[in-house]
Amino acid sequence: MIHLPIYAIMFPLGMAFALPLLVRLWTPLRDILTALTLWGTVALLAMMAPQVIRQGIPLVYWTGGWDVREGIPLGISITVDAFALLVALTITITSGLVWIYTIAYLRHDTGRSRYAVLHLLLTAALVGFVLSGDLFNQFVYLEILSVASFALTGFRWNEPEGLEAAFKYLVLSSVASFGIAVGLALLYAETGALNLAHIARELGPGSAGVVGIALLAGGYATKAGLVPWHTWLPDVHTAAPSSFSPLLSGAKLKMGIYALVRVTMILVPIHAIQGLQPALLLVASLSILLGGTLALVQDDLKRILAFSSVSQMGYILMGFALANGEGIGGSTFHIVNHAAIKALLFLSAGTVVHALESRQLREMGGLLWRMPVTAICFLIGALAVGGVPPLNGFMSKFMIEEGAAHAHLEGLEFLMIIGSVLTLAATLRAFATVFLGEVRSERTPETYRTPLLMVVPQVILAGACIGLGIGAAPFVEQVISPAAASATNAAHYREVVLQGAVPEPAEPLHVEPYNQRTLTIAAGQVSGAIVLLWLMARYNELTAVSQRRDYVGFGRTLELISIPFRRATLLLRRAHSGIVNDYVLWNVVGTVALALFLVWYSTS
Amino acid sequence: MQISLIAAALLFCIGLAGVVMHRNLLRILLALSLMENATYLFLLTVGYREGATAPIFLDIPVGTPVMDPIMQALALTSIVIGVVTFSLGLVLIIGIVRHYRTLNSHKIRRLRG
Repeated sequence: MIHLPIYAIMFPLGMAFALPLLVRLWTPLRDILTALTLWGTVALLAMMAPQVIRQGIPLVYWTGGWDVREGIPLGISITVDAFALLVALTITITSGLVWIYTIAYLRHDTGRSRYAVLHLLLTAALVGFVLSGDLFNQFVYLEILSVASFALTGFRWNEPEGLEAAFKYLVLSSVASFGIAVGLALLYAETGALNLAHIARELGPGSAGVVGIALLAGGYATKAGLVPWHTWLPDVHTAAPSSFSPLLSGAKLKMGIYALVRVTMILVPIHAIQGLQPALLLVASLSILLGGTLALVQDDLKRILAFSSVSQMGYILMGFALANGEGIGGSTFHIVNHAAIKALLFLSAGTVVHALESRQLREMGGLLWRMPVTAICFLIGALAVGGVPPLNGFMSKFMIEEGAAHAHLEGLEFLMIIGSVLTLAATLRAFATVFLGEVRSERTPETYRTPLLMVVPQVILAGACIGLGIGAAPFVEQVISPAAASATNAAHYREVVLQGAVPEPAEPLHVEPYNQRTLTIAAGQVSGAIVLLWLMARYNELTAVSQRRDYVGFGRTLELISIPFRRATLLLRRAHSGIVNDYVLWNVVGTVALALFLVWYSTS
Repeated sequence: MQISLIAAALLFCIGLAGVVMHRNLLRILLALSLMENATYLFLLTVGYREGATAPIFLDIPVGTPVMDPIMQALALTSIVIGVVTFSLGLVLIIGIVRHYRTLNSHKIRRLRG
């Protein structure tokens, strides 16, 4: 029991290296062994849940028994608090479900043993990262999972776009990692500590610390795909094998936001550096708007979902940056929800792409009766991500919006509602184009037959979306509350790690999702999205009559109103030039701007 | 110490300029590795102590100033990781060239918008 934290990391990591040897003995062992390893890791993590989540007592494991002496940690700690455990469980469960899909998805590919090794390596590194309580240890796991991700993205040697995306990913992710390495060295120079809790205790006011925090935040924001560090995300999600995209969105991005929260909540409490909160709120707002807008205008099924991920990561950051009970609870909940929703959407989209061998929307249509289960699963995901009650996305988004209202930031609440309208419109547009209408490219009936192993994970995830929506109140009370409390209480975290204290149980959060206000907002969002879609679909017809200069009417007004939006969208699409040099520039400018802003704000 | 910090900063900026300005994928990767070397130099400088000796506590008198071994361990780990990333980058470039028939990053942009 006491060694569980290290087992949960070492088991998948060890199996990743043992697998190639075991597969030599008997090849069919590969799929089953990988599945058993992943679900075994889930079980190991779940065994810690009663103590860590239910009772709220974090487990701190000191590797090699090198623990705290006279207030100074000597070794490396694995700190399993409720927030870390919740994120780790979300990641491993997603990974386990995605693997089931992968078995069927890759059945015609070669090199599946290598894929299994990379999948295990990625999962092990993600779990290790999330559970680790030491900055440099986290950095090592970060690099392991980055390398595994590059290799998985470019896994198909015959797909040029996958290789292109993998290279961009490698360059951008490396630049981010250098930032993180320099940042942690700065913090070490300032405090002489690498343990999160130890740094948090020693870090005083000073510019070096602020720059270090900014570099870490910029680096982790790259991993989380937040604007303006998001440029790798749409390319990689789009071009990676469809068995990897759900893992990226459901697990990898979660690790990025987890790290960002740890840096800006535990390492320095968000209010300790002036300017940190406004900066994070700005990043979150930009992500929500840019992601939502660009998701609406894409022609590529997986790219729509990728940009919607950018916008959802913005929601998660928004709640944490608001730094009040509802916002943090909502964001913690949204981490779980978004993992379920996005994994589901990417799995369904992957099934469609797999059948049609194309990602282009213009080649799709009328698949509802040919792939009914996939269609229903996709629809559930589309509605959930757009925040339609009673699905899970509605629950967490309304909590975050509540948080904004509580902080008297009505502007941000309105922005989030707009973002929801855009996301809902984008995913519904994808659903309508792919599954409704007439068939645009006819295939043989066999193409549409989906293997059972590809259907089961989708159905489970769709069930999870409904279940987490309906059972939101007890889930938030019993699981999310302790996690949200441990995510943000820096003083508790320090005491737990450095003094072995037992924190007092957190006050449970209560949600009452259904009242007149939330239902009005939800109804407004749905009708807004439908109106938006109708206007987009009929745009040419409606504005056709306005050719005569003197004509003033609905079509003319619509045209005039839409011009700035069309220009802005075009500009944004041009800015995503696809050139890796430009993207590095976005990245560096983002981090430098963040650092300068924080230094300027905290010294003035 | 000052000089090596300045050198690290300069190396980092030169590497960054290379990554942003070069169009050739191989040069981008090499510039990336220059940035990486700058981070090693920075890590080692942080752990450097003026007039100190290697942290081997076998035959040195108690109280002798020693270097900080943690930063050296970090640099070593980073170097290992850097080699992996670099070689993977080379492999990806080989794959890209086979399909795109170019090394120009401005022509390798099917994914955009």
